[in-house]
Amino acid sequence: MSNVSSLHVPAEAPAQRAKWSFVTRRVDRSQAVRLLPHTGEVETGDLVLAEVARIGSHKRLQLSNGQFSPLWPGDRVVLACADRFAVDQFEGRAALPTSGADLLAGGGIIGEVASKNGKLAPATRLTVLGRLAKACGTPINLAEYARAPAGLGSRPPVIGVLGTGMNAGKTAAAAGVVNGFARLGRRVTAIKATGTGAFGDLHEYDAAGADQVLDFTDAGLPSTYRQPIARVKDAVDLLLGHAATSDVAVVELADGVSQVETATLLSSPGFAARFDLFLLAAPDAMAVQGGLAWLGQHRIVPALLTGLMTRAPLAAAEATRSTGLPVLCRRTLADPATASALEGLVLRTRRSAA
Amino acid sequence: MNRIPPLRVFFRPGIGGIVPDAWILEPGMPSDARPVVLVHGLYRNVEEMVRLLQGRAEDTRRTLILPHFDKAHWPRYQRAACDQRADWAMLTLLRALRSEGRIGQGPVDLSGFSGGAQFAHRFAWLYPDAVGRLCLAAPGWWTFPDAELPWPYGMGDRAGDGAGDAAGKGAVEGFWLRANLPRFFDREIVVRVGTDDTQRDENLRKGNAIDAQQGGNRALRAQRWVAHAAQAARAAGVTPDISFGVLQGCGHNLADCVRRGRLDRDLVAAPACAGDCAQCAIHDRAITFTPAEGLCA
Repeated sequence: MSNVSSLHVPAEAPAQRAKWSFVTRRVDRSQAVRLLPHTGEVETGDLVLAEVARIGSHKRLQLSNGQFSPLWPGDRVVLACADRFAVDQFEGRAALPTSGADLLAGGGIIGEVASKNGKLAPATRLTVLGRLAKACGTPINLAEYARAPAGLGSRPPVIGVLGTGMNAGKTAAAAGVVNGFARLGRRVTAIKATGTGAFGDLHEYDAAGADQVLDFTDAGLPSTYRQPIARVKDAVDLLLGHAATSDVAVVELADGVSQVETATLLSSPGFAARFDLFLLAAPDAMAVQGGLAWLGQHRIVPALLTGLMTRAPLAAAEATRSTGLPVLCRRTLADPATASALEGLVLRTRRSAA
Repeated sequence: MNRIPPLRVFFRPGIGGIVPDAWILEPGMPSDARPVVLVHGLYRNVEEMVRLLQGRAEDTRRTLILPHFDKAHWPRYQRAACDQRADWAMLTLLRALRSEGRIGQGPVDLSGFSGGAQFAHRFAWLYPDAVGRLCLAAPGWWTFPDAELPWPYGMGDRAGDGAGDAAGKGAVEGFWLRANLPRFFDREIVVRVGTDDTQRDENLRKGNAIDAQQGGNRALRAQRWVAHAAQAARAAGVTPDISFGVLQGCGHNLADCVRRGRLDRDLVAAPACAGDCAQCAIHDRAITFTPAEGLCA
């Protein structure tokens, strides 16, 4: 299976009939005219042509056109090689063993599983056909297709959405905030700043009324996990630069505040100063305490709390009592009066900083 | 000889529960001044307001918008963030008028009489960016800038505040108001009440608690709110621009306040007056300002 030289791949357009995954959406496909033999060599962001060998955990692929495509054995897919971190799914490395590779994320991440959540089936298994390359033989890498830096512009209010962990309700909260501002008549840029490339969150932002949705794949990164922190910060800055024409930017950071990458970012000098205020999403009042304690050590005080705990009014009331912070559910976040209040808080933050 | 086109008065139908009906007074040659939205009282006497303010629209050449929050869809519109969300309806109306090109993108001036003044101060507090000058005439009761009192009496939290119920109606009004406090007071606010508006009529909210907090009648309540507002504005780092004046010999009647107290001149300020009365003939008024620091006294 791994002997790619025996496979017939037209040299002119090796991936013409393949399914191009979401993370490849910015790539100029006409440049993918060569297929480099699979030697195991790979860089994060390299585009890989692979064939589905065995269906496992991921049974669908997110396509570059924003739709799902069910996967079948024998499907040819174009993916990007990257690391992945997901507590409830896989941790994986940006590696392409000659024995085959794994579909680490449905957005189109290929690599090698390092560990998986016990509730999951094994990853969908892939046969690597090779890396896609330009006519000159240079491997195609997502980094080349990043958006160009935006021109200088004023910085709109930037609202960060943090969580105590994965599935704390961050995306729902971010979408709620986006909707509130949209209903207030504001132009919103919604940004998924870190994580693994996938269209689900961007679709949520778009459906909530964002004028512009961006993620780190727009900055040339298929995943931010294990990337140099300077590279991730540059990506965030590039995306925020593109928000300059908006009235407000809503930025979600993946996973929990203590996850190594998010923690490093929030701890790094000047990073938190990019944000005017933060929201913290949590599944319950106890998690709030942990999140606030960590943030407090880094001099970050969220303006309000939200997340899955808001499904339980008792939990929300407990969090309010114990922290003194307002707790707002997704629908209340989507209230234009909340958006107006957030603008008021941003203004006060900026005035006190000035 | 060029003739100024006449004022156009027309009715814009709304959508029940979504956007209120509205009367629009559009001068033939509108000035550059902000449009003025005028909100009716509990009697919902919009057509009377139109009649009373038509001359003022012509004099000032300002576009006037008079929404009608009908009782069936917005029974408690004066609270703005009421169950039926009169505030959302107002935002929707303004958005529609902007998209129709009837008003510009900027804020509107907002005026209200009685229940309309209740709505106006709460709406402006919720959406400070949407409102310029604010004129509040004879509201029955007020939301005070007092964090110790729960909404709608103050800007504190209601007991048991949390994330709200399943319908998303959170008890978050206090959070909204506290967040917006400096921006709310960072504007010209004009408060008027008749000297004779001291009756405890059936529409006046009464009770030991509210009487103790706000006073026993509209005249007292307006005075008390102005004093608290000025203090709260200063505490928030804002120099208050609040003018309080009484309308001599006027009770709680809009027509009376307009005819006798020239309230129309407060509800619809002359554009670019800036208090320079020598330049405009509109301030030959019979208002006593208390204290004597009001505009154009």
